[in-house]
Amino acid sequence: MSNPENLKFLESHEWIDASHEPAVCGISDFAQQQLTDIVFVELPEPGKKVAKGDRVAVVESVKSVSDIYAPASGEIVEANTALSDSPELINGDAFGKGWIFKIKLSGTEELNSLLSKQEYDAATAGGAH
Amino acid sequence: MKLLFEKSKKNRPGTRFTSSFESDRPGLAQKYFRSSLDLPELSEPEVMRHYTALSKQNIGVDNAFYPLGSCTMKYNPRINEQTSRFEGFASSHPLFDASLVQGNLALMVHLADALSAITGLPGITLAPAAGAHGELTGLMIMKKYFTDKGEKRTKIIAPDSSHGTNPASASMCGFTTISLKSNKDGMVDISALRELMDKDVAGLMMTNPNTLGVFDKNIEEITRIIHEAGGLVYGDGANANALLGKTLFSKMGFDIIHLNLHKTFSTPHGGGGPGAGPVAVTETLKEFLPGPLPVKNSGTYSFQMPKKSIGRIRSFFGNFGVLVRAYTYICSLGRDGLSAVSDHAVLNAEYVKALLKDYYHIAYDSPTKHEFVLDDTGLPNGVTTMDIAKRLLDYGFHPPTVYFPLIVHGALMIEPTETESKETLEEFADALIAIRQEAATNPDMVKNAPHTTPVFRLDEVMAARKPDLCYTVQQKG
Amino acid sequence: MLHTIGKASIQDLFRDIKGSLRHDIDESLPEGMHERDVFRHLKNISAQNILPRTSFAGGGMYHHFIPATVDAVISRSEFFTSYTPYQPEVSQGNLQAIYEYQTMICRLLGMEVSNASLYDGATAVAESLLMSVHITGKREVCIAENLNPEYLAVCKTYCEAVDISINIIPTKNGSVDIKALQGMLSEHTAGVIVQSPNFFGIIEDLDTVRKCVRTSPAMFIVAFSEALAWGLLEPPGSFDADIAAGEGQSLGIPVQFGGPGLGIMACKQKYMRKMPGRICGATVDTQGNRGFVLTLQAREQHIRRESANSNICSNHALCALAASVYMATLGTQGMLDAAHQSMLLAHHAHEQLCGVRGIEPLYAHDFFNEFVIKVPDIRGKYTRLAGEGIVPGILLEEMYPNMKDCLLVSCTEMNTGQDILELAKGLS
Repeated sequence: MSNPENLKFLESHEWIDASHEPAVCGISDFAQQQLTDIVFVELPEPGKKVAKGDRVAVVESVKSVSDIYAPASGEIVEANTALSDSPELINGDAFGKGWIFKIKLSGTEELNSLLSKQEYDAATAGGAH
Repeated sequence: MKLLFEKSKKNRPGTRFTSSFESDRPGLAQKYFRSSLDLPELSEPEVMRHYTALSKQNIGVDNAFYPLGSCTMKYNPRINEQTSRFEGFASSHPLFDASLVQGNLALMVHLADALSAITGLPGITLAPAAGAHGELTGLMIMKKYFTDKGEKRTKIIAPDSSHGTNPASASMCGFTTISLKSNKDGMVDISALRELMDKDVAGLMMTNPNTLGVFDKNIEEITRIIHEAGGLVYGDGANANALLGKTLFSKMGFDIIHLNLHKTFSTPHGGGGPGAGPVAVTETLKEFLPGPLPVKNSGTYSFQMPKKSIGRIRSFFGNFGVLVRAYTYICSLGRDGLSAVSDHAVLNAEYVKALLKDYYHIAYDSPTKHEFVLDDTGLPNGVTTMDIAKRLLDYGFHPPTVYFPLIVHGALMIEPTETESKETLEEFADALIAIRQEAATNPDMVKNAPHTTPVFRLDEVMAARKPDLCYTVQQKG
Repeated sequence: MLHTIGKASIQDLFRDIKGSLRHDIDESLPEGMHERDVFRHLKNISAQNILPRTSFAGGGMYHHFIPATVDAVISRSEFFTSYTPYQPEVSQGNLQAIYEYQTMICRLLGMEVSNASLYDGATAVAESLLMSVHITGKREVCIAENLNPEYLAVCKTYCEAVDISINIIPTKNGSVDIKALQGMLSEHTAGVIVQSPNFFGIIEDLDTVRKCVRTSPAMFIVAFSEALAWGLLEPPGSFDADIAAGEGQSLGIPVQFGGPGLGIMACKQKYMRKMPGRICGATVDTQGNRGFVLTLQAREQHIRRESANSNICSNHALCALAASVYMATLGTQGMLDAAHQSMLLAHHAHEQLCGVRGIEPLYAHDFFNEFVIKVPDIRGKYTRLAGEGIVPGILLEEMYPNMKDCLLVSCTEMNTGQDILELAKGLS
């Protein structure tokens, strides 16, 4: 699956869609492939204030675990509770039904430092790292 | 196979306790009693048949060659089992007055002396229950040592090839772990180590031979770098089976080490435990050891708490039953036997490696000691290390350790131990060579293995997504 | 073999160990011995212990009856010479036994989820304390003063290493002082640990403790050192415990000088992903057959490394197996019988001993199978009785300097009415 044009990315494989208010975040299709079958997602509590780079969620597969960081500062307003029963949504639709949380951004300037689709494509072109 | 609970029939108790004592008093008031308890109810023959059937679905060292790298699955001599069950040991209570348990204390002192002679380190605690528990103990000693000196050091360096328990133990002592990259030979990168070393580093945790089975020749320089910066060096003795009678941990510059009695000293692994992970330390660190320690004073044994002890790290004095087994082993082998252990352990590992080197890729082709690591380079048709491991089950062998260390892609870590015959080693190598050929000619056979075990490959994803950890009747009904 | 390897001698295999590091085996180590002599040597050492005819020592290790099935099963080498079930296809015996163990522990404790066991009661309690700190993100804990002193000491060691502060809940007449507990609970409290039956054998009022704990966000942890008590008594789960942790030695494991024991830990389902230790789960194989695997491994050190729930990477599997065989052999009625008889004997002993002139009970609370009495010149009497083959209990002064002349007396179904008669005579 190719990375959508309208998203911004972190090198640690989170994506953010800031075209809506609140912004939506998840992990990339590349990341879910690296993790393999996802078995559990530890979701953030709505209402939690986070700074860019804070650990906000955890995604587990059978043999690995990955921390999910906030792509930008703001307040978590919603977590995708469907993932509690069906963590496999991330494997099936990482950029859609597999979203992880929604965040009300404190500002938009931090988004400028994130990777564009093209930059993220290039960063992940070499495969696992 | 049916569960105990599925075989249970109401009111069929295995053991009836006819009362040894009649009382006309009720004792404790009814209000404290539980209203119900639902344990399986089976007759004694049914219990024995159940567990015998379960045992047949398990393999141990007595069933098959078990070359599980880093775990030292050597033969567990039966004399150990006999001595540990002697009534005098098995029925002695830890809170009896010391005058009643002089034998136990004597045994602990003898064992500590032997471990001290083997490691070259004078301070020994036999208390830790396992290797990981030994690590925790060692790091607590490190922490207390620096606190006592008025220094606040917050970091521990561990090689990227290290066991996961190293960073996990460091966290349990409030240390931050800094990962040290290995060099292209799989050894400690000396210049990287120099760069990481500063006044905040409490110490380095490492294994020698390392998890690749390679003896780090620079060990003296490595430990010197740490010591010059005021740090301490912790040694994971998991690989001690390669070094008995060859060198001493003290000579290599280790300040604290743990030994795994269930690896080097032949006590059984028990399906995951109990083991024992005694810790040995330098003279300087002795006073920080956890207590109480057995000591001998004018012919009588007693327990003493070291002056600046970190405290207790478990209840009582150690996994005593395991200590009896290890001491029995040391008595059986004696000094020459112990030295021969490493001769044969290394010979066996090098032999298997030589038999396999034309068929598999050796991860780091340096001289190895008691174990070596293959990687998945060149495996054809998408066959993975896991597939090879599973196919080995069909050939009647327990697979080696897989996917560890993490720095090797598709690692297959082989540790034959000294207690295997030349013929067994050859049969094992032949099996691996045959599987390598199957991978090329009949890959599905390998990818779908095992074919002969009580169950086939299990769905670990389902197990983790929908955890079923406890049998409930409703859920099955 | 050397030829295949391409070396001339065994010595050549060790050339990578520099001369400056070489050290031959230490001469102080003994010469090897024939099995016959090893047997004799160890027999002689064991004979230096003086085993009493009858013992009333408990305090965390209990001399209960062990059915012969236990040793028969754990002596099967398929079990005891195997390792952690890394390859589930050839470890179903071990894995199913763990799953059954987890189920029996859940039923015994009235809890929802159990792990595959930890080292011992003390480390299980210390780990439960760390677990409450991880879950709540708070760094203060309250621990009852009457927690087994070995467990308390271990909790202190574990807490000191990571700067968790401990508030000791004082006791009143041997049991937890609820008012004092109420006073020390705060929004910073991660967990409250109360042992029942406590170290002095007294059954704590867990319902009142629970109500008190629930006025704060702290987790409620019930500790125990006498697992057989739950064969008779209302278990921790009935009091809404968040975690139950303690020692399982009573369930088919010999006292063997205090180890190996069995660290039991169980918790509510919602905390299972924060529990330390191995956990076994049921699943299916590629053909749809039921099978068992180690699961929820993302909690553990080999995956999560420095942020793992704990550094533990094993369990006391063989001890857990012993406990399973024990519980399966005894069944519901057998467990109840063993617990009930231990209780009856202890109450009988209490009555008999308190009838002896000079002996006084220390506390008035209800107890299970242990109690404290004050006996004038107990040290002298202990020595004399030990010489006659009776260990009268545990001298508490060694652990609590202010408890001079206090004796902790414990009974199990292994003691007899006659033993108690002799004890009473010996202490008079």
